[in-house]
Amino acid sequence: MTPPVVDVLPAIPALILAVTGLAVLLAQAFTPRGQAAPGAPFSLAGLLAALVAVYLLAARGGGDLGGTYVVDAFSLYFHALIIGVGLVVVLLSPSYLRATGIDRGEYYTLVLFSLVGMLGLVSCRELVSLFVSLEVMSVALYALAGLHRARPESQEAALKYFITGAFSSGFLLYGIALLYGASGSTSLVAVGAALRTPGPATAALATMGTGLLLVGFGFKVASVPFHMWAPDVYEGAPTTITALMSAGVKAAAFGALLRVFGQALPALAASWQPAVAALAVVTMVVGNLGALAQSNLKRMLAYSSVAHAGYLLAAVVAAPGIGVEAVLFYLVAYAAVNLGGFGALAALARQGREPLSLDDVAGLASRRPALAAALAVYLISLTGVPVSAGFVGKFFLFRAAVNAGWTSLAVIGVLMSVVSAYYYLRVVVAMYMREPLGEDAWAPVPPSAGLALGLSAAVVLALGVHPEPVLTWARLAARSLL
Amino acid sequence: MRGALLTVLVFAPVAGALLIALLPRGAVRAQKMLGLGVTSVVFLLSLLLVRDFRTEPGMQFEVMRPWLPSVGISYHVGVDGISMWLVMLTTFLTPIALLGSWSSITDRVREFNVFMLLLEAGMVGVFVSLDLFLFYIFWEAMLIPMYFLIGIWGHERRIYAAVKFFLYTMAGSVLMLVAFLVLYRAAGLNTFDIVALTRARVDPALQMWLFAAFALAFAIKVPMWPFHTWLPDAHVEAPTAGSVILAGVLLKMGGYGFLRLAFPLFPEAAARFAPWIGLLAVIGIVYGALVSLVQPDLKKLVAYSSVSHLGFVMLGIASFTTTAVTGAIYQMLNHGISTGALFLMVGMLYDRRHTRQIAAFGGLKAVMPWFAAVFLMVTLSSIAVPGFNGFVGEFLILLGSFGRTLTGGWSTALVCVAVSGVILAAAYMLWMVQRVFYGEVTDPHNASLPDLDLREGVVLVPLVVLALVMGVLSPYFTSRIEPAVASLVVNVHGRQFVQPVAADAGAPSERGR
Repeated sequence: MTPPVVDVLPAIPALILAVTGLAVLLAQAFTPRGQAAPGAPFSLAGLLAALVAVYLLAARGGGDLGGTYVVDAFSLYFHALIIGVGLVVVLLSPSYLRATGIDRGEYYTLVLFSLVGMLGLVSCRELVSLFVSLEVMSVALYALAGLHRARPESQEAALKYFITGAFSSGFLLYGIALLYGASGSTSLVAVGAALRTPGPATAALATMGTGLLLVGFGFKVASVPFHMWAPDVYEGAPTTITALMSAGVKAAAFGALLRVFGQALPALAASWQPAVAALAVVTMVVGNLGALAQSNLKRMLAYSSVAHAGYLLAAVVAAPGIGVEAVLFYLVAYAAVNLGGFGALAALARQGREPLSLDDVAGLASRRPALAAALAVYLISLTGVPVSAGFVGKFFLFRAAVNAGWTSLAVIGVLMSVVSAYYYLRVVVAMYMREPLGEDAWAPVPPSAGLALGLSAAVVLALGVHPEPVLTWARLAARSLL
Repeated sequence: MRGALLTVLVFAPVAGALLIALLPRGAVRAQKMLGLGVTSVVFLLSLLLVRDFRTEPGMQFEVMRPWLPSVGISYHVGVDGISMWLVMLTTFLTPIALLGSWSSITDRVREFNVFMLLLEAGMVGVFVSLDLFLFYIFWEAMLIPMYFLIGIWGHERRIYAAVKFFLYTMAGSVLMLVAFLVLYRAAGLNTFDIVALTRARVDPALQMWLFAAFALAFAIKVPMWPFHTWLPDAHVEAPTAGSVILAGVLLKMGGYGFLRLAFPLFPEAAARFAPWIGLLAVIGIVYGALVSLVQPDLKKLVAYSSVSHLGFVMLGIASFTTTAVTGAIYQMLNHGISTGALFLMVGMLYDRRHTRQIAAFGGLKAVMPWFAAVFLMVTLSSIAVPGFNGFVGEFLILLGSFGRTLTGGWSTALVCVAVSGVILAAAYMLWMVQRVFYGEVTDPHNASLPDLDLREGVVLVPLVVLALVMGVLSPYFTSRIEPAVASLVVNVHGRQFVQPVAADAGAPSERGR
């Protein structure tokens, strides 16, 4: 009997990142005590190599690692997005780590490992390996959230993230177990096939399993009522890691959610769609109202990220139809603005301090005109006002909801966008319409961070004017789920 | 050239804005010159629209290119007799507003010019868009430069006014966006093209909801009573150039939206809502006039007079006869010119005295005779004295709103009440002129105010001349507006509301059947 031929090519991008992570770790071992290994250049090289590998894989038409780890158009789309997020985060990191005194070798290793987990999360077509990927991603992030050992907020963030993360993993695992019980398989395709003709007992099990999965994913995408960790964790974690969480984790979690619900559970759509719709409504409302009450910028952006999970869920209701492509497009738009928003705060960090309040950014437009303009672009995109990727993205999200017959979701979504305009505009008002307070205490924008922020702003504006290429790609990716 | 003209008009200001943004911060004079230069060139180019315009209904200078073909979104622009004049108004007022604030804006001049140019691009874009997606992009994108103009260069309560303006307008627009999406689905044509959707039939019950969503967005923009509360704040706090553009052009977008989108897309709903729109319009006329009467602040007075004037426009639109709609469009242009001029002149007074309180002035006629003369002319245009443009517009509206109109049995009553607005307008404007310009100079600060200088003269003369030209040579304009209006009215409600247009203030014209 010959062993089955295993095609490892699909895993190459993830492998490159994992090996780079190990290399950074090893390099640290050979660096004299008290100095930091050149983690950033290593990581950048690894990420670029992984991006090339993704491109080659795409040219080859994807691949399949034993049916568990597939690289189809869907995961290729997410590969490019996640690696892009990684690149921007790594560009933002060196200056921030130096400014806050946490420049340690393991930072880049952990970032790369969490990226590996994200890649797995969007590529696994089997529930157990999906769970393993989730843990790979999460464990690295637990450590990263607490990297700032001297700051109690950072410790609190790590602990909170870990406890709620473990809790949500439990839900997810229980859901997986129930689905296995209902279908006799953990492969998404097999589960999907088994659930198409369920018996009464099976149907009850599968519905319970679906509910538990929804709770598990609800934690990861920070949807209300599973969002309470997000503000504290986003606030306490190092800002570059917050950027990674809000852009990367959210994208990967939505990718996994779409894949699981689209491939394994379409037969149960009638029972999970109303639940997702309800989650979308409370998430949009609570996220936006919560953000209104925040005076800390990181917390405000954390609640805004909750709110955006709500907008995205509104289109998930329309999955597996045009909702998927809308979510895919929006995730790119959303990643760009969040990387930019948190990145702008990180870029100003100096001597352990970074801007946290509106007073801290008052008059920023006269002191850092380019940075203020970029931040204004991100905020406008978050509000969903054209010309920006955020507007095009929301347009397609709500179009999906309306087309699926959920007009009320779109109405709530746009009204909540008006609420969000109020708190996003407060930042713009502070930057442009108020005088600076006190001395200029912030760092000059470092070149690598400037590059990252410029890239993000360019993506936001370009997708606002010419979204067709990315939309087409998202559509291809969405089709590969069917 | 004919095909590319509109695209050039939209994007030349954007290119200009980018160029200005690249200038060094200190090169203030170059920034101003470039801003004025680009907008002037855009105005000269837009004259080609008038020259090459064919007096016929239907879209002209049309361009259609696929943009997001999978969703049926295209870059579709064109103008007809309705939108062409609004484009002209925009390109005409922008350089005037820039020149008008030449010396009053001293802080962040580069950004000011950039935002003014982006604003112009957005405004022209709204008037030429023939695709809902494109229309919405310009409609919303315009908020951002206006928001910055009010918030950065405005007066004391500028931040409050800027945020209120933004939130109000956005709140109105977003429901319209959802209505676009519902319409797209209901029409089932897989297109956002306005011309194509106008031919689609939408279920009358659904029409009511969609019309309501559109009407809310446009009513806030007009603004119609009781959605007007953002306007006094925004107008009063905005810098002069912002007020001019806001009153001159932005307020026209509401009426234009009703004519281009709400009425043609949802004819049954329009018929049902028209009497109520007429009622709100007439309330606005009287309310705006009464509030103007008691304003101690010049700028607030002019702002509230806009509520009243725009009430006439909305009455004409709600009546939906050829005469009334032609009058409404004419009145939109008139209001842009006369109120634009009034805001400019109030700004000039403010630059000299740093107050806008009517009580602070008095006897200025003796001190600034030229200024007083021009102000009086503008006032006469604003209160619709025959010979000035305002008369033609208001007369056509009142004439067309009488008798058999879309407001049904209410039409006579609405017109009767609206006429009182004409009288009230004379009262509040002339009383204001009397208090500011006549009598003795009571305050020594006023004794040595300089009269109009050359720049200010250059700013005001075109406006006054145009007010007179449009008052005397109105057939030149109405004859180009009226075919488009006639085809709009016929397409929406058949021939019942086609009236002979009084091309020259009362004399029936030969065309328009």
